[in-house]
Amino acid sequence: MYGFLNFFTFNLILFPVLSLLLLLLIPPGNLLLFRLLSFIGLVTWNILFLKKFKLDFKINKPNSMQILSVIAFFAGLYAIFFRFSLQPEGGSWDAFGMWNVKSRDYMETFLNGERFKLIFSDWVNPSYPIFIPLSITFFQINMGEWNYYIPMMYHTMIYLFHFIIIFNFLKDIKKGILPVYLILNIFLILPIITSASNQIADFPISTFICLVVYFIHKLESTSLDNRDSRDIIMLSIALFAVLHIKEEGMILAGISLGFLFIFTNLRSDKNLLKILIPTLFLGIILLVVYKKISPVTLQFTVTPKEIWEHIFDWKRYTVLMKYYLYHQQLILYSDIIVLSLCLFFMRAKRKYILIPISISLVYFGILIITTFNQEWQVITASGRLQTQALQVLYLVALILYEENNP
Amino acid sequence: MKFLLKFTTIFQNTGATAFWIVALFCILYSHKIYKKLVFGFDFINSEYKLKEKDPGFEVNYYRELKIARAYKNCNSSVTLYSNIPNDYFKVYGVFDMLDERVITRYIFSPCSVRVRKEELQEIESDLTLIHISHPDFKKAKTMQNSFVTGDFIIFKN
Repeated sequence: MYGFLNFFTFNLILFPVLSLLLLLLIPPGNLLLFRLLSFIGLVTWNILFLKKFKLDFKINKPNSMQILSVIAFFAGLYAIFFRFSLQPEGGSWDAFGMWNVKSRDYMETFLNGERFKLIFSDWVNPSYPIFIPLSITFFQINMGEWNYYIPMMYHTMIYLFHFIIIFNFLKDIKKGILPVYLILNIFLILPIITSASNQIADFPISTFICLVVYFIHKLESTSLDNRDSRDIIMLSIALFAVLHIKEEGMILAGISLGFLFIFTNLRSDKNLLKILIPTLFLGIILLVVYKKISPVTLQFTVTPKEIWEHIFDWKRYTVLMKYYLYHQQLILYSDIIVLSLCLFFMRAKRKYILIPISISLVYFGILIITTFNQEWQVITASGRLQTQALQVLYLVALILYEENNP
Repeated sequence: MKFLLKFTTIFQNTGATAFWIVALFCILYSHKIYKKLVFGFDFINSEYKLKEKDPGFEVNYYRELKIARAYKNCNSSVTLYSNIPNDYFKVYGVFDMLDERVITRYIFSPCSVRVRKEELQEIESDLTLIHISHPDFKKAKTMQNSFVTGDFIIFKN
């Protein structure tokens, strides 16, 4: 299954990169050339990658936890299709505001033979990263016309990718109530929440940050001499992707890098630094260039005076706490339950809890100091921000369970 | 007895006590939680049922915009006259619905979209759309060069 994980990650990265290169380099409107080069690009990349990586695509006999995850995965998949059947156009404001409008603009300008434009100034969030729009564009242009099912298929692909990460991790895990509870949450509650609201746009970023956590743990658990360079490459490109999927990626990448350098021994691994630092450097440069071109850099700015006032405004904390207590929806307090279990009953590798806690704390801080109407922002944003932290929390809880029940 | 002893030792640890407080809290709220469980399908369904006060409005709105686009494509801009309340698309709560500007921008991609609530005016754009919610809809129906698609009147410029 490890082979599938690598294969998926590399291809998910390839789609936007190939899409951007083709849009920049080939004459607009030449659909045949686009299709031909897409095919050649995909085949060449995969042949080179498979030869170099020597991946093992064997699937061993699954254990009981893995079987449960497969069943839960299909139930979650049904939830996704159920939701799309209720709202056939798929996605909500976030999905359209951030992804669909952008990918359709790229596709339409290309097919109409117009020059490629990286940013359209009338986008609702022109500075928002374009990893996902470019991925969707890649499929849409190859289809030859706008297909309403591609965004849904992309969401399903990310869900499958998330499943592969967890399925891969479950191979060494012991049976227990906690993993069962976590699997049900991961594959039933999360897809329902993400599918039932605009959080479709948040699912990919949390999936990639899960991949980062997965590889940090994998590398840290291996001795310096036995570390696989493939894992290091995977960690680096996962971090690269996190930076370019959503604006929150900068926060998530910052937290995971901080954890990597402060709390793990990976900072002294020269091989790791040789690959990680240039990849991140490239990722940051591209992000800065994109933000510089954009007419708006960030969604909101806040002055030090406003921060000071908002921090000492206790009403703002009440709004957040009330929302947390009474708008749990499907999460069913599982964040506090899982967090308490990890904090109080797990000893080994407990430091990993710092990642989801830091994510939650940063988002909590943002919702306190926000310059938008706070109640509106809490209602529209806190649920999806909480889901990002949840996805990581569940994976961390599985890691801790495995470490504490060897 | 053994069980009781084990049970009491659980509470000797402060961390464990905190956990049991949380657990108790969850048990107390279990009736609320139960309502929202059933794998969430009921929950999604109930949110969807809110649409029943105007069945299929959003889907129709979306579909009709697609018809409008199929009728006449744009080159650079579209003007949309409508008077749908700003919060109309947001009544569905969980689905966090789209707003007019984003939907129209998406359907007429990559043309820019101006949404106007004011009276009809001469504005330079490839296409002018008037939604049924706009007060001038009836007046516009009688105008020349118009094409009616149910809830929209389209003017080619």
